[in-house]
Amino acid sequence: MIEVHLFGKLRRFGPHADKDRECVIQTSADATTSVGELLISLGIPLEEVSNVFLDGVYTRAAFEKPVAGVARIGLFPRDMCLLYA
Amino acid sequence: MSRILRVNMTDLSTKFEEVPEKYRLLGGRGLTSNIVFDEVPPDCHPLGPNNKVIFAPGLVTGTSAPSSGRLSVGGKSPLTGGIKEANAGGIASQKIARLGIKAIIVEGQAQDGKFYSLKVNKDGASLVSADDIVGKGMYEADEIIWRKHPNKPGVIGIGPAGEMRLANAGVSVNDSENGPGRYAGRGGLGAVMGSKGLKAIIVDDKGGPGVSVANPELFKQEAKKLADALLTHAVTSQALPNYGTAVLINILNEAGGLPTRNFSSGRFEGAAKVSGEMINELATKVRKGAGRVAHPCHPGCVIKCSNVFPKPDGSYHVSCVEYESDWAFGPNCGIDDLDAIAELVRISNDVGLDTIEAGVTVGVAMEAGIIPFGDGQAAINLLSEVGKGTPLGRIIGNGATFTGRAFGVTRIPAVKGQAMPAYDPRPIKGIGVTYATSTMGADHTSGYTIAPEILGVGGKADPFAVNKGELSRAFQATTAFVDASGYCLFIAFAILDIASGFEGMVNSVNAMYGTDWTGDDVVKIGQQIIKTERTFNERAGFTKEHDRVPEFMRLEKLPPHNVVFDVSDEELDAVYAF
Ligand code: SF4
Repeated sequence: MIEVHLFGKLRRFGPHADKDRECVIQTSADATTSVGELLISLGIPLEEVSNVFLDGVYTRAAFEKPVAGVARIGLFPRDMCLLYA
Repeated sequence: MSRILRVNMTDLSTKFEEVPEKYRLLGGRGLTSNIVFDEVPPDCHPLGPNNKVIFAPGLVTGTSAPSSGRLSVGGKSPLTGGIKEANAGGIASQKIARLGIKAIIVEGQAQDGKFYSLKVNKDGASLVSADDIVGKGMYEADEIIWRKHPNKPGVIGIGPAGEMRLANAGVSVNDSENGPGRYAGRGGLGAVMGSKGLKAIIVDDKGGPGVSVANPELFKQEAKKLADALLTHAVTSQALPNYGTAVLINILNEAGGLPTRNFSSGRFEGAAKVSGEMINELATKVRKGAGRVAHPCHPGCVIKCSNVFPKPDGSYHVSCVEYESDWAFGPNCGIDDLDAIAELVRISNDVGLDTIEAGVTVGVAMEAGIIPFGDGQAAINLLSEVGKGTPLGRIIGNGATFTGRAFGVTRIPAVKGQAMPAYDPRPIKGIGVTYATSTMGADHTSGYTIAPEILGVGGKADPFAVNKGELSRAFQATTAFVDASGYCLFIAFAILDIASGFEGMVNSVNAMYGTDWTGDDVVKIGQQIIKTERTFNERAGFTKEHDRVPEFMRLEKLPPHNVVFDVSDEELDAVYAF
């Protein structure tokens, strides 16, 4: 099971847009799928994503990384880009 | 030609002095720290007659340069026992600079036990009785002062905490709406003001000479380069104005470095409820009314990271709920209620407390079982004790270390007696190096390695790597220069990434003073400031053994990453090898 946590404007791709609670998509994918492929399959446009945390670690070039072993993906949109990619 | 205003509280005299040549190219923190070094005996009692409190605008403060209205306040800290520079926004610093005043040095102590206000305007300076505002909180004090002074002066003042000389008393500066929430909060310099019998400084710059710039054309061009960088970079043009610094709540929570329930976890289940997103939602969409984001703390700031947080009915509650205050009273206390957090910030602004120290103190009191974690109303009641001057209130008002001792708590997140800010150093090692080695005690602003470690700004660094001495050193030196310039530290996000912005920062200073400093000089000047501070601290009794994080951080693993602080002592000691 993989949890995808969405913040800011990316919440609209999740189950709700309430700012006062976590917006989480529960999903799964086979180990060879990349993070980018998983997000596209969930309908999340990669160009709207600025910063990606994999299991709580800010990760550059995360879209190319395989999801194998990843339990939590955190996604921030461009206008919350305190993380300058 | 700017001058230094010297105020003697013992004989209630004021005099203007020429600026000595050695201070000509110093401003802000560079100036306050050098004056403290030159004039304050390091072994003096911070609340005794030999300590001084110094107020200095930055090098370019008072000009049209963007986000440049910061004020440095310096002295020997009653909280740490070492040198202190606390930095604030608000409207007073620009006014001091435009009166042609490079620094205000306050020395001695009132002999009659009374409080005074220092009035400064184009005609000079004088001390008058503060009977009209003594004992009052800063909201009422500011209001009374503006009622009596139609020119809407800048006000630098202390609340009851400062009058009681509590070690967590901060120095309030008013904003453009006359709210008191811009604090030179850290290190207890409000208590130093209180010990001198100085309740407020009232600064009216109407008719003042203004600031002089050696090369106005060049200045304009370079200030514009900086402004362009600030208006282009994603952090300073989008994230900070939209969500304020509290955008960091969700980010640090995701990173597992958001200190929760007195630094016992790096994730808070209620983070979303107190996030920058939620503040934006309530202030601009749900409640509106007085609510605002993209609020500048002083005229001329183009980043505008501040906000006005409204009550449920839309009326003004407090300005502002920024990241550190939000975190200190929120996740750090297990409180997920923004209205309770806003009220705790308001109490701090009124009574005159630093919100970081106050929030960490409440967290320590919760750890001690005085009140339960997560209980917002109990926290409000507890913090309200400070203004009443009850024995419990005085313990809380003396900060986290004092309170921890009073109640036998060992998990006290502090260095050199000063509480840690909103980044747990266990999963973010570089900020831990800064906390440990800063001349100020635990202070994120003195070397904000979060930028590369978490935020990916100014080069990227692995937050878990332990070899952070060099990174922290470079950040501490550049920061010391920015603090001396009068620019807001938040310009760092943009200037670390955009070369023309960095040039604009350095060359605007050059254009003003006729200097030709380069980027290398910036680091050298910053290092010189830190060396001066470090030498003062050594003479005050600090050794390298004081440059350490608290023991529990080396013993207790922090979830969710389950790591301890494991930077070696040698790495910490290497920070000052310059
Ligand atoms: S960025 Fe924020 S703290 Fe800095 S000067 Fe502007 S409003 Fe004040």
